[in-house]
Amino acid sequence: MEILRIAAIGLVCALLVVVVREQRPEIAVLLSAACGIIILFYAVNYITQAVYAIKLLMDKSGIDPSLLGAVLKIVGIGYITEFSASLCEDSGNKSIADKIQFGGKVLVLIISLPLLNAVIDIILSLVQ
Amino acid sequence: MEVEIIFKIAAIGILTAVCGQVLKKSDKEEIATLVTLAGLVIVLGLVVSMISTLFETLKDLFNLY
Repeated sequence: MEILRIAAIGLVCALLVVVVREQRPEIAVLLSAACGIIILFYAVNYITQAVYAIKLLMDKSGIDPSLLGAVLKIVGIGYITEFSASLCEDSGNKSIADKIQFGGKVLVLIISLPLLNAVIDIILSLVQ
Repeated sequence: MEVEIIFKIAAIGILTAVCGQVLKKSDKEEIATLVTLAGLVIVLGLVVSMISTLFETLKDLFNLY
């Protein structure tokens, strides 16, 4: 059971962070970051399987593969943004976390603009 | 990516805390500061390499270039 392992790692790490934070708050932040990375690595194995399954589905449905690439990119930007923003928030830098999230939103917007263009092209061809 | 690294980081944190307190009690403030800094740099090195591995993995996984 992978979830038991993940939960155990989280609990042990939370305990260690509480112990270390008393004396060395800066190392406590890095410790919680390391814990988050290890848990994410356990999850990445399963994300790989999910991405592979989604790719198979897209192949069957005959949708343009570049669209799937854009969607995957957006999901990846979301994961990275969330991870680093919550890390910054943990270390007490709420404003930097907000800026990271803002940057992530802008990048997602830039990537999704071609998709929006494609939708508008389809709508225009239907109208005419 | 193994769990032992968490214990390693926590051990470095506790060790530097103890060393710092001992050095402070014996009036060696400047060495205590250096110990704190050294611990921070070691842990930072460990965590930064982990973060870069994670980001590389995510980049490969989601085709981010």
